[in-house]
Amino acid sequence: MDVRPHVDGLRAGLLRVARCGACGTAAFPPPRVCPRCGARDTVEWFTASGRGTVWSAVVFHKTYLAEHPAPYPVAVVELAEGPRLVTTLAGLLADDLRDIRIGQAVTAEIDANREPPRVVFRPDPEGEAP
Amino acid sequence: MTTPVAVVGVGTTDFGALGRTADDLAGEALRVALDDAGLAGLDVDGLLTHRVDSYEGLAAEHGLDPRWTVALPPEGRMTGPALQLAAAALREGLCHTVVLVYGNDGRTRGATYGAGNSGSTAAGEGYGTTPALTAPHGMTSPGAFSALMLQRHRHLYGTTEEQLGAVATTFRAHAALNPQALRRDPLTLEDYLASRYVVAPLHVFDYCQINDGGVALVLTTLERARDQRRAPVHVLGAAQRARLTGSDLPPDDFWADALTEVGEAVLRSGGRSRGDVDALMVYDNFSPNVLFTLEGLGWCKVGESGEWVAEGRIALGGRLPCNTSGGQLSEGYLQGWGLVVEAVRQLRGECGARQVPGARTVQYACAAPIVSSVLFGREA
Repeated sequence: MDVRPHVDGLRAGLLRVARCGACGTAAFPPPRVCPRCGARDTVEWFTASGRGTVWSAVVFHKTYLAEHPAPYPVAVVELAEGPRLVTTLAGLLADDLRDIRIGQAVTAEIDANREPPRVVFRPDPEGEAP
Repeated sequence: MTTPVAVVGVGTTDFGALGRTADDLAGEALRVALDDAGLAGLDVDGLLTHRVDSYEGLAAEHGLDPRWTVALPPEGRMTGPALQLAAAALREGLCHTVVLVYGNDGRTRGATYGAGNSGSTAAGEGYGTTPALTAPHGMTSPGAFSALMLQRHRHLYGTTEEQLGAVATTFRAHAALNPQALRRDPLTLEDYLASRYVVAPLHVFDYCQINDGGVALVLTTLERARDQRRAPVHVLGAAQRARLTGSDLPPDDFWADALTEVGEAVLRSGGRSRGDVDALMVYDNFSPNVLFTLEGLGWCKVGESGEWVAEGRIALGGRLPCNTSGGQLSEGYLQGWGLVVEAVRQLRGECGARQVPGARTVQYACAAPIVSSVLFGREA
């Protein structure tokens, strides 16, 4: 699927995700045909607030690739606007899954200097999302 | 199903680190399966290959010029669909005797399912379509996808590590009764809990054993099956349902809707009810999939699978013995084919110490982005 607008957005410091322009269903990465309403080529890119919650998380204890030395966390974050992202959590003791609470409110931080750029999420100090 | 279809031959090679090619192993399994069926290559007019490098090379080597040839991509989710497709071709009269041939040299090739060489066409070796979104975060392994699902399940339903550990320890106990299994050392719950994490919350024993091996099956229509030397094992039903849209992320329902659909479809097709199922062969690339499959097929309520497996129901002697061969966790990872062969051997009554007494109906099921199930029976 074409995620260039997302990657280009990260380079510009923006978290851009997509929904169906016909029915509004969050769909990311964006398919050319909406799985809900069947509309074709109606992908609508928008800039997300960056607020979200942790939907699930794991901690890699095995190093598969040299550029990702273990341990490191991987999470699925659900954005306030609906789309979910595979991402990394910042500001944690990375090697203990017990430090990561599902439902935890998090906020996006864009690491634009990396190649490719990426978005990570940092837990909000207050805890649960409103 | 209108024209009944049956398995009349099965063949397996040794499993392990064999230093042989997938096609070599597949070819050996083919010969064993044909011998088991009492057939020759010239009797075969249908060929389905899975994960072999060259269906052409395999056919040429073994003297096959079928009327019907299909080669499937290497993902294990294709095993149920392969059986469905072959059964449909037989029922339709497109061919009369099909060999399904599978070969895997993942161990020799150094498959990692996270850093290359697995042969999978899925993105970054994980599930999904878009490595540009996952690779920058190091999310490259299908095991991690299963781990994300389990951690969500734990959050929603309180599933514990001890409960999940019952899957690995139960299948290991089954493997001890299977001379062909790779992991046969006893595994206690304490061993499991003390073992290292690969991707937490999954321990190393929640991962299948990457393996070399070959498997083949011979399927034919029942009228021909009656002439063969083995008692036919009937293919009573086969169904699949894709969950490919949105497959970049774990499914909200742990694939339950699709599992319910395919489970009901195969039972209806076979004129059976769930209570008739004597054993379940469940795709255990990673042990959480066993929990999700039991819930989706309706053996327990959603969220209660942890408790269900921890109480001994999936062990030999329990209500629903699962993966009596040791499964992919302990016998070896053959992408579902080893489980299918075990279903056939159980129904033939060939399983010795691990035989489910009087087994008449055995189900195969796979929870994956293509969910599938196949129902086998000793009677039509």
